Amino acid sequence: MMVSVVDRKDLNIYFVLIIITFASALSAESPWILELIDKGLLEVSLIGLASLKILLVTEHFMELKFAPNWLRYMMFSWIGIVMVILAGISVFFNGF
Amino acid sequence: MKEYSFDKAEYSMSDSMSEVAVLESPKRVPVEPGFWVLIFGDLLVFSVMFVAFMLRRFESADTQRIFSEGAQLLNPAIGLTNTVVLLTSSFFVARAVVQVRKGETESARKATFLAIVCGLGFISLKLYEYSEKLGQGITVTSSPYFEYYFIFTGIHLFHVVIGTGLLIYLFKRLSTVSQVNQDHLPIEEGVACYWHMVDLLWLMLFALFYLLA
Repeated sequence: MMVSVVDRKDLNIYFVLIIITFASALSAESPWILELIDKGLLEVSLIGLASLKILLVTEHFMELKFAPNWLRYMMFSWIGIVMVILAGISVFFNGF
Repeated sequence: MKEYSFDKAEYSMSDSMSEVAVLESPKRVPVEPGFWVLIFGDLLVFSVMFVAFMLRRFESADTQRIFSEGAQLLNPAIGLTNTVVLLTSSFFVARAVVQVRKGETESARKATFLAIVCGLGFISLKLYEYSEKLGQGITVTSSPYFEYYFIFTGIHLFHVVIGTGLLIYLFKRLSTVSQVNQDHLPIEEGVACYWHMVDLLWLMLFALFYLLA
């Protein structure tokens, strides 16, 4: 049975989401990583990766890529503002 | 009544066809526009919760230590599994919507069923995690970290329960018809958007509670 273009892309996005999830979890659980990068940078990265996953879910699974720009920009704004605030709090207290 | 028009014949064309062309209108609001008021309202409430968590965490050196110790007591394997389960369910829900558009009743039913299984799996794992904590003597009043943990993940779990109930309703609807049509699409898309919202909220909760602290 032929897999449609939309189906295959959704599957690819799913695998990317899973890979990012495992990469984030491994980064957070590996104590040696703090010897390589600053704690603040790690936290910002983890928040950034979570935001990236959220973006992928909204664009592809929620199909906002087909939505009017006003709706997409509202969602992008929410993701961006939340990411900046959370990362900002982390950087402010952890340093960078 | 909103018209959702699509060309079923075009949908099975070759890979060279663009995704946008499968829908007659290239720009469309997935689900009723008013539904997005609910979605953004929920997102706003949860974002305030996320910020409150971070600010409480860094309130003092003591709270940083408490939050760090609290996070160490969580089971990362369960958190990770729950994240994978919810992402998988989102994939199946997205598939179900596509199948409804194509008029593929049986495939839509199967995808919805698999999404329900994932939803029930998430609920089961979460309840097991809660019972594990309670068995260790950890409750909502044990520390500021677990106060946030139980309240935030509890509210999210409530959303998951509602979403799973909606998916079960969709499955029953799909089971009673021999052929889906355009009338099924609005509610299918609405439930799908709600479910994806539940999923994306968990993605941030997982990062804050299981990874950051």
